[in-house]
Amino acid sequence: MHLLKTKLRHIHVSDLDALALGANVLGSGGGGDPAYDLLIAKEQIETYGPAPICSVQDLADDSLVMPIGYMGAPLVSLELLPSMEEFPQLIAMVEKYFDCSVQAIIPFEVGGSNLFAPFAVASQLQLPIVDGDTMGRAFPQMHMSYCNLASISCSPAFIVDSVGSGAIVKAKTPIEMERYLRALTASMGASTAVCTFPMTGTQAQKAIISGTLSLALKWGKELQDAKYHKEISLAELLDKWGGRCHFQGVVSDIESSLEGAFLSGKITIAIEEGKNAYVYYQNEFLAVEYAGQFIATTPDILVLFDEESFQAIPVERVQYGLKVTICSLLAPAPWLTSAGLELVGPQAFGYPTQYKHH
Amino acid sequence: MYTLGIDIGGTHTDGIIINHAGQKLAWAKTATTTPLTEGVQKLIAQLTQSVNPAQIGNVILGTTHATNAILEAKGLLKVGLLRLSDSLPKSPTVGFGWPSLLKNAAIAGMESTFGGYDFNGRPSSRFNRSQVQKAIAKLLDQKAEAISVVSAFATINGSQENEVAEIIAAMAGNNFPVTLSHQIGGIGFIERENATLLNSALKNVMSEGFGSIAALLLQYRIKASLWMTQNNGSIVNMEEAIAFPIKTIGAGLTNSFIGATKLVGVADAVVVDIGGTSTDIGVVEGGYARTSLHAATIGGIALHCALPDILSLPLGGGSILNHCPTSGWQIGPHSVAKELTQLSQVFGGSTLTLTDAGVVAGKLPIANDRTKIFLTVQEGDKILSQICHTIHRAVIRLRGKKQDLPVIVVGGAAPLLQKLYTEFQLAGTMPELGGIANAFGAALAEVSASVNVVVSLDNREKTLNELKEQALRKACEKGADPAKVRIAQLSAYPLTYASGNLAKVSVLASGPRLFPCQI
Repeated sequence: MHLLKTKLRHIHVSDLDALALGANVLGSGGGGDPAYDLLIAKEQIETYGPAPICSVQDLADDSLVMPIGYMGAPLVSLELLPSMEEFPQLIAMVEKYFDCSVQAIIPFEVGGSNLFAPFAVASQLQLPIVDGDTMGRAFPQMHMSYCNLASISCSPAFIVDSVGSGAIVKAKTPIEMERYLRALTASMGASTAVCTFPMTGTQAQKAIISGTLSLALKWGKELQDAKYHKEISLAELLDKWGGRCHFQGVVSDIESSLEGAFLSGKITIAIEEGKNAYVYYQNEFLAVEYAGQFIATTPDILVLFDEESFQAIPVERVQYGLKVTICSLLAPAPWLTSAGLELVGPQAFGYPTQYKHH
Repeated sequence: MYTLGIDIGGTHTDGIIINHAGQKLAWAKTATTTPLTEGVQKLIAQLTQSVNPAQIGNVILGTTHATNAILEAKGLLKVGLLRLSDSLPKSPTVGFGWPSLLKNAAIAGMESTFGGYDFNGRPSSRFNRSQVQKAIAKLLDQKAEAISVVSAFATINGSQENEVAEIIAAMAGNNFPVTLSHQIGGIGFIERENATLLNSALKNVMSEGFGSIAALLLQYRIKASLWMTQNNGSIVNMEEAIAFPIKTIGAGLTNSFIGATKLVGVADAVVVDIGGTSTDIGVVEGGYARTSLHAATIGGIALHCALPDILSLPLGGGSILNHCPTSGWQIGPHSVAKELTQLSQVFGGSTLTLTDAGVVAGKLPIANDRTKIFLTVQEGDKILSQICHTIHRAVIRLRGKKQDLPVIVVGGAAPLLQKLYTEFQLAGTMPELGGIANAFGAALAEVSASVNVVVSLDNREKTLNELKEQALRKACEKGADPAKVRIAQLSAYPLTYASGNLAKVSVLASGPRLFPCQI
């Protein structure tokens, strides 16, 4: 570990439940329900020891840093458990390609199960995880990455499935890379492990959103406190985080369809007699409409909370009849620039509105 | 034709006989015994004094027997797990996160072999019988007394699991207990695996507990069809309940919530069930108990079964009262539970309980000497206000914006909560027969049928309508009233990445039983 400048911190089993709660909030409904990866991370950490964490500033300039995560449908990942060989195999491919050892991994998004994906392998190989991610939340597509804004090359990307097949992919643009990886994922059983935007420590310092693991852990712990002690309401908590609760209502309809190989649709939430709010999603919640107006949109983080349990509900767990509180949190700063909004703002998803923070 | 509803709880066994119009003809309450049949026999002896047993056409049992066996880890079979998935998943290992008492009692070992299906339902090309045979031999070597088989996407296609069951029968005999995960159902490998494991583990508990009930009924000249209630509030025949005990695991609560609303005659309500040690509060919507958002758990184990979404408070008739000079009365969380009639002051004991407060406040019809209780009428009254305050807050939280939902209080200690209606001005009622709400709920259980398929939704409306029709027809074939049967749940979930607009569709149809009927 001579490429790291300072001592590592560690994530212990006792931190993981809180981390899962926080991951569900930052995921904006996406990234996959972390339930199984939480169990796997607990078991690996119990077996191999706590997962080491470092700050992006601790990385030596020429160290090789690997953003990783799962690509695949949430429903599919609920059935196809990983072999636990995926990420070690992916790391071996990357190391062989660059002929150099990987110094740290980083979740490519900080939402849902993709926040957890690195923990099992970090514990297994005692390989540090950088406290940060490449989206500051979760987004449905690979190119919606701060690495893209920071002009890091997405090529080559590495992809493996759970039976040991794999590919190295080169593409001219991040959008094309997204398309190729998605096609591969679909033909590999709709569940793969992926590395894109491999980079150096110097690049990472400019191209990742730092501190998001710590943020997920902090928010998760605050949610746990709120749930067990009830001294703070959800609205007060959101206020503290710089967000707000918009409405409370009951899920009265879920329309979902497949558009371009994404789970997209519209959730109708009955706010009061005859008045509905609509939440649009494409893997993640992306826009909220009420009374003919978009009242909150991407890149702000949109969350449906179960107010009783202080739990953010992943998109695939939304059910008819569920009582939810619609909340939004300010987007990570890099997305609020004009280049950021062009990549991940409402119009990038086809919603006919300008981004406004409310 | 009459229906006899029986609820076998941890402390009491209750029963009620109703006629085809749902009128209550006879009811009784006895203590739950070991073996269970003794208490049931006593109950039936009482009930048949006033009702001709030949008139009873259906007997429906509700019970927490299986749940208690899991919580206490008693009488369980040791189960071997076979995972069929091409990734040969190693983590989480079988029973990871379970209470160790239960894990030690119920799990023999785990093997993984190639197999399962992909998200389209295409079978693994790696499935291999000799590998499966070797894995089963290993599980049998590890002294497995039952085997559970779980394949990836078994809910889409169960034939590989069936093939494995044949292999097990050839190796271990036709009577060797086996549970296949597609028989349990539900997307989500781990929850389905947990349910499949517990199901195998419970097989003996169920057959020992209920295998002889049919013979017992015959002793009393009751030649009725015998049923159990399942988690979703509908009935399942005894044979299936013994084969799939996991399907009955949450039925006790469901019966209480449904029984309470049916006693009052409403379809939507908040139900407060206060027993000896705890108070369970749940919401009934459209005649069904509202089920939990997050994967339900039994004894800390995540399961698939939709279980009632409850708020459980450690407050009941046996709750122990302590007076603290600074903060006032502390009620519970400890309870004298089954020892109420030995320990509480009104029965000559030395422990002050919530029941004692109820007696001095004149809310409980216990004829014993009140002077044995060291509480003034004002204190008793204040304590009842205090618990009603706590329960009132819980009710408000649970019902949310549905402020017009009536609040129904049932259970043995219901009279302690009268102030909910007076001092706290909740609308609702406390039905006279609230003590036997569970048995009444069992007697009125519905029949249901479900359809779970992966289909193309290119023609969405037409396809969904056909599936609805299919479910309704299946429910009617099982005895639901064609005039009242309805779609109780419907979900259509597209498979991301799938071509052909495939979706996993689940439809549940349910309806009241058509009286009189042989089902």
